[in-house]
Amino acid sequence: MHLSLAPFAARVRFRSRREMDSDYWRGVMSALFGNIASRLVGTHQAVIGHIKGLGEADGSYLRANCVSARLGVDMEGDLQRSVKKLDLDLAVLAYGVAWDDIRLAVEGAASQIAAALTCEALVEARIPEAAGHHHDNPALPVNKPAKLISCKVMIDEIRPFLPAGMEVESFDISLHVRPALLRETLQKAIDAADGIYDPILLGYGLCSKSTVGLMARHSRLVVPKGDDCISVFLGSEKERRAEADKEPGTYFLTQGYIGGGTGPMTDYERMVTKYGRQRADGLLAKMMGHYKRLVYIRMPNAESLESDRAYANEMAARFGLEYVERDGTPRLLKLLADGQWGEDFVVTQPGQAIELESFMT
Amino acid sequence: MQNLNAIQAALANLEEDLALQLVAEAMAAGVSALELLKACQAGMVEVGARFEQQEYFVSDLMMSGEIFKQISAILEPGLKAGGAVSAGKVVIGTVKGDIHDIGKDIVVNMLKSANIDVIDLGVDVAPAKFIDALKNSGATVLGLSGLLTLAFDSMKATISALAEAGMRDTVKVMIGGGPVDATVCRVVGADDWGADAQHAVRIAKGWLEAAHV
Repeated sequence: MHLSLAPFAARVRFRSRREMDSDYWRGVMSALFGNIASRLVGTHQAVIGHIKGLGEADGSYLRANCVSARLGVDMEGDLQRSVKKLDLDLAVLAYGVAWDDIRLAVEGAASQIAAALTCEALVEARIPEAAGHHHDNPALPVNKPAKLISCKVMIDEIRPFLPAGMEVESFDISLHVRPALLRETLQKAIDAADGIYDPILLGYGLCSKSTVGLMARHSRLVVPKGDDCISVFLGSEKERRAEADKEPGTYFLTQGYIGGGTGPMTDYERMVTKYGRQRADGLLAKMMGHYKRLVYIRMPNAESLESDRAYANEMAARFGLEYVERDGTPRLLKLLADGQWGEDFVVTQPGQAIELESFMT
Repeated sequence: MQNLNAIQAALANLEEDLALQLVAEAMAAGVSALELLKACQAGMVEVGARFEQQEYFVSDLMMSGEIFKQISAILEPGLKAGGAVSAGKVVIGTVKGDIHDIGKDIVVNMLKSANIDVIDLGVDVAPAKFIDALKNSGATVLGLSGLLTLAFDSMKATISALAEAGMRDTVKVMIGGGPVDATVCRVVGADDWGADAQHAVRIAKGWLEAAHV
């Protein structure tokens, strides 16, 4: 049995009874790709690398791309005028599936779509010569690209260190308010990237245990070993603990926090409306209870420093906190991006979940 | 009964004045302090549920704590009078490196309402301070609180210190706070963990009653 480790290529010719417009052909391509993806995943438990296709007519084109059955099909381009036929060049990269099974999936999907849309479909498989050299190896190919899934709070700081073209997905900092939701969101993002990217880098820390239990079946996960992004911004968990030892009642602020939709001030106006200003001030003061010090961390890529500094100052003044400014460092982010995961990182192997113990000092 | 439902709803809706007024009226009408406390606790549970459903914010949780605290203060004499002797002693505090006490204070109030003597050590409490308080008071239950995940290391250190002092077999340890769960309980070596304030009180009462048998 030959397993596909390189794209399977085919030409699919669709013919309709009368001239159909761009929207129709977009629908045909989208349905075809989705159908192929679900056949490969559903029947063969395949990991899809990609399904790509280009349909051309009179110098205009339609392009379709699908990287995961879960994520659906991306379409681009438009046909300039209505046509009766569309020749579609198709490439399918699916790990762990035999060539013949991919061909059957494409043929099955094409005839099902054709029947549903009352057009005809003809599939010509073009298995490249190289196919003969693929041997029976059910393992996933090595050297998959890495992907970064990160909190928006650190995205500007890590970007300068990322290799060109690296896939990045980022999520809002406000998800942190509800750790269970953050965990669910991250697991979904990991599932969609699982097996396609390796490693999957997480631009997070322990983050109220949101990252505990996260797992990829086919990829490694890498996450900085720190309580949260303060550890990341200060360069290590050790440095963060040292800062906390100086004064446990330290409130940290960075550029990414401010305007990130979290923190005690975000909710203030709503509190005033609901409970009155006096009550709102009281609750706010209670929230800031034993805080003594506000540390504003300067980061190299943070923009609009002055307005943030003003905000941090104002907040310190309001709650009677000592105001301190200090430099952060992108050290940990650079190590993460460079693949130098030493003792400052938690790395899981495929099928292994991130554990709380790994974060304990 | 209708009174109790209205009190529960007022607390759940965070209607401070209404809740306080209804409690005062119910007390005047002779409803027992314990019944009123139960209604308020049910209201607090509902507040927690609404927070989970993203209807309430952190500040709303705190507001509920403020209302509850005021009601507890009103009910305390009634509860004390109702109960006989102290149910036992609990040493409690927020562990070293953590300074959050909103949740801990709610637990303290509820423990007191349950007729338990509470030695509250405050926040950022070093292991040695917990040990001293246990020795001086003779308390057999220790409550460790923490909101930050860095508190886990402090909880573990405190429990290790307890073992080193030769007191691990005589003192039961419960932990609580935002990110605390069964995994944290296992990892830090505590005996049990409280998902909310009522849960913490149930655990402490259970241990104290068992000790008296």
